[in-house]
Amino acid sequence: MGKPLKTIMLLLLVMLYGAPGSCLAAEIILVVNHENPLTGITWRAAERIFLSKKTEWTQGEHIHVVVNNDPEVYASFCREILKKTPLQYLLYRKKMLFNGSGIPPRVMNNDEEVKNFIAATKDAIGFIRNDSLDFRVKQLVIR
Amino acid sequence: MRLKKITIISLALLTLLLPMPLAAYDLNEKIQLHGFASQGYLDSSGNNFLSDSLGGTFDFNEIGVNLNVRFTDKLRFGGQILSRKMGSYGDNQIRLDWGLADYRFQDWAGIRLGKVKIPMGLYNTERDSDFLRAMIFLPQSIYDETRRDTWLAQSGGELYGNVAMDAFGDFDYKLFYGRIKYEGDSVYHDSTLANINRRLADNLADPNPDPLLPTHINQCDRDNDYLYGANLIYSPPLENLRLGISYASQKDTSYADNIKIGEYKTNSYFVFSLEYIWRNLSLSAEYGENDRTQTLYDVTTFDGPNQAWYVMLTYSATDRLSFSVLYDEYWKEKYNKDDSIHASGRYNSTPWRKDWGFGVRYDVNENWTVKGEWHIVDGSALLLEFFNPDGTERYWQYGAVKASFNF
Repeated sequence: MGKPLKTIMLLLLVMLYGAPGSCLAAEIILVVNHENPLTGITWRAAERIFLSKKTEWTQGEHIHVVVNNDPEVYASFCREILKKTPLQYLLYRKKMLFNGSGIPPRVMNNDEEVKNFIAATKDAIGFIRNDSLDFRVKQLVIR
Repeated sequence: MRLKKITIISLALLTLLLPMPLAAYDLNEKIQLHGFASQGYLDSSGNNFLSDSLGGTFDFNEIGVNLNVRFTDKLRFGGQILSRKMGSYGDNQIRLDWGLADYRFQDWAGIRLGKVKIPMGLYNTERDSDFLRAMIFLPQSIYDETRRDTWLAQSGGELYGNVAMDAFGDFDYKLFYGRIKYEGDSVYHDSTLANINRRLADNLADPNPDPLLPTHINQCDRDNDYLYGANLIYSPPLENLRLGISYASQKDTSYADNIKIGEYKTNSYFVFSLEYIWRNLSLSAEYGENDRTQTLYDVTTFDGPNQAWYVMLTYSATDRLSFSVLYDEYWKEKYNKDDSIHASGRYNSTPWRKDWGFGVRYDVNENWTVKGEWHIVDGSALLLEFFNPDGTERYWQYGAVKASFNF
């Protein structure tokens, strides 16, 4: 392999794997209200919920989705669950608003706000840091 | 007129200066008020593009405000007003962009009634919101700005839904039917009027002119008789891959000075779409053909499909900075790529458009976006004679910078 080709390959690897914001890597979990009978969910179903494609739990109740806008948590969620960059998910939600196809999920600023909202809302789902899980909410395991 | 402009500019500035908590009104998911404003600068060399762009123009902006009200978990009402200016068109008049009632019975079945965006390709429904896409201009082969009035929105409705197929992924579908309302002051309207008058002038100059044709018309109108179509987006189990197909058919009747002079029919228009996001790279590609027939004064002025496709690659260097490269190709007639007759009746020896575009986007924060791009083009298809009365050049370039704000 010639030197120029090696250099190009190296640059491509840096471009692809030097992910923007890759230093941000909070461990995140999905959380729901204690009254929610579910204990686990498939990755595919989780993705469909946060993309507003799945709007009802299997029992028929409307899902109240909340997006955690803490930069570190939000970035980790986008990359690990949705496999998108934070900007790509932001634009996805804005498209719903501006092309008339729907109202995107509500946004909250941090784990505390998310936990308080989910504790008070039976059919809600959100995501928080793994280490901030407490008695107010229940973890929903991604299978 | 002057007062209206001042009012619009004042409203835009007020919106821009509002602190975020005041600007975005969000009441418990029940009522949401959002909006956007953008201002651009467009320049070109060789040909005028969408406006008198050869000398550069700042007449390139959009302002939109939308309101959504959720009555129940299944029922929503929403609407967006839009004011835009592109060259001497739009003139920042306020118009309804979309406005609808949306009832979602189940995830797999819902209905929207009212003025609904037409889902052709992956990006047509958001063509007026600059900040939603990587580059300022959508690929013109598929999203031709000179035909925006035809494919923007329809008054009628659509059935929609998302169908999950477990291990096989899911698909979103839309089935739509309605009518298009053409604005009387659009680029398309004025260029059609100019083209008809050119044909009538040619008839007069002919050694054997058709005596039944008028010498000149003062106004032309176009009524849409129907529009229907479907859009299907399949998301297979492979992460962030979307495959789509869109189809539409429509028919218009043309009038000159209130007398019927012809028809324009889209026999079939389809677009195949692909979008794939992998790490920091986003790939979009679409291919489309629009088989249309136009008759004017009992003469078929064109009949057959065009051919359009593009590939666009966007690389996100950071969470805020991205670079895009686009190759976009259009042929006016799929089966005759050597030359063609323009709608005005004039001969065109370069009826294609091969566009290399290079763009950069920087998101200052969640609300502000700045973009810039440059395009190098071979071919004069899709250029309006209307803007280039002295003829067009085969090789030309255009570029733009634009700042957008949304809340």
